[in-house]
Amino acid sequence: MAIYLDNAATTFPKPESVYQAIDQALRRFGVNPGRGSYRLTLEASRLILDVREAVADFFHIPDSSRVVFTSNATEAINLALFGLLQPGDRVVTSSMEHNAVSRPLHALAARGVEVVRVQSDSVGQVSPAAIRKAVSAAGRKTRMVVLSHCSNVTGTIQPIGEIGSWCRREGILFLVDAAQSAGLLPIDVQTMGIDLLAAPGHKSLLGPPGTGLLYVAEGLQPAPLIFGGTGGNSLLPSMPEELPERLESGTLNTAGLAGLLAGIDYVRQQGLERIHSHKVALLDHLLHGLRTLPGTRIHGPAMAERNGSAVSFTVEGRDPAEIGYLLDDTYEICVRTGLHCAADAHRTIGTLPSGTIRVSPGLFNTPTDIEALLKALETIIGNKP
Amino acid sequence: MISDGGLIALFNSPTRAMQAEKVLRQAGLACRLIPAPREVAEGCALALRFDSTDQGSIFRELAARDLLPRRLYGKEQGALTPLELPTNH
Repeated sequence: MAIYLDNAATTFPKPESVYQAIDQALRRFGVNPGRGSYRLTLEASRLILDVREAVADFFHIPDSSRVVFTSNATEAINLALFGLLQPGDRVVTSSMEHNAVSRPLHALAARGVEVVRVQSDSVGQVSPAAIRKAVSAAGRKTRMVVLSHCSNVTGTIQPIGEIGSWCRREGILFLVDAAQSAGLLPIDVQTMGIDLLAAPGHKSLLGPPGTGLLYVAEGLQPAPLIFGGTGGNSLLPSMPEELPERLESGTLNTAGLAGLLAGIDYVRQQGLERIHSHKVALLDHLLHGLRTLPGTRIHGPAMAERNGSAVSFTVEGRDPAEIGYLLDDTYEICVRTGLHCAADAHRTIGTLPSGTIRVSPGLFNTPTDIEALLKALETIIGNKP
Repeated sequence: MISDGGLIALFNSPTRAMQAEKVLRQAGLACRLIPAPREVAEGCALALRFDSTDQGSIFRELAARDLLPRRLYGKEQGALTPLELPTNH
């Protein structure tokens, strides 16, 4: 059986309860929620509300109707950026962002949005002082700061609480890409000053692919990206003003969201502290092992406590793609190689163009998996081509 | 669908209607979501039906959760009549 160490892309496997919840929802009330008023559709709608409330509770969101379901974090980020930014607005972000942030901002820059990228240090850390300086440097107001909570390349955890609180005091919108942190690190939108939180359902929240969410703070009214049916006010030619309907056109992924609810329940039962400790133990094991392998260089904090969910490394004189191929082909070990959809981050840490080998253990990995990876690497590195 | 003496409340959005139903059920108050009759809602909408004897308890519960409806109707002699939304909860 393959050893899966690419949980930063999506977590696999899921808890058994997630598979069961998806199956049962699809079988018992696989109808269209929010459409019609017969009992089966109401049952589906009640489930959707339960998921919304669970998400709100998990991230300390005061009003669950401000939770908008999307198909992934990328859609949520696009919705926030394209829905709120106008030509002439100024945005401050970092050099460590995933393409889910970088590409929409690149497109918005072409439409007249000013995008300022703050350089992180060599391990991917973005300093609050650098953000403050970038905001203050311009002679005009910055509309939004956009930051990933945890890098998908180096695992570096950013001090979003400190940055968010400052943004709140300055009246600057704060959008957090929680793709790598939701379900792994504590997130409180109120105390962290987060106005917009984008998260996937299918990573550390343990739901299935096809689920994601955007939290939109009270008072913000993003323009929809998609226009269409919302199940109510059908005579209205425009989209309704109310959230979440305004931003949720089309049929929702009821079965997927049932899985997300089961995933969140599982995370709650385990507890974030325990989940994080498990990851730290595995990453610590990995980092110690990597340091003993000749020619290996770790990119990122190289301290398990500060590594979030992933460790990236390179081996001198070797192509990461080749090592990834050999791990899969010979040892059935799944890791991610290359640029991880984050060229800016690789440019920052100096690993362009070939990228790194990224290892991201999940909740169901064990020390035995890490040991198998290290042994395989020892053999691969010892057998130079 | 609505008997004489029955009340229906309309909310700002389907999600609000679902939230209201959940809150009331948790509080042990009888209510049911039904399709809003055409006299009171254009297009598709949900209405929350309940008995007039529960009106006070229901509005107190909804007010406490910031889930008050947008409109309220009562059925008398087969016709739905708009009612003032109670202000004292």
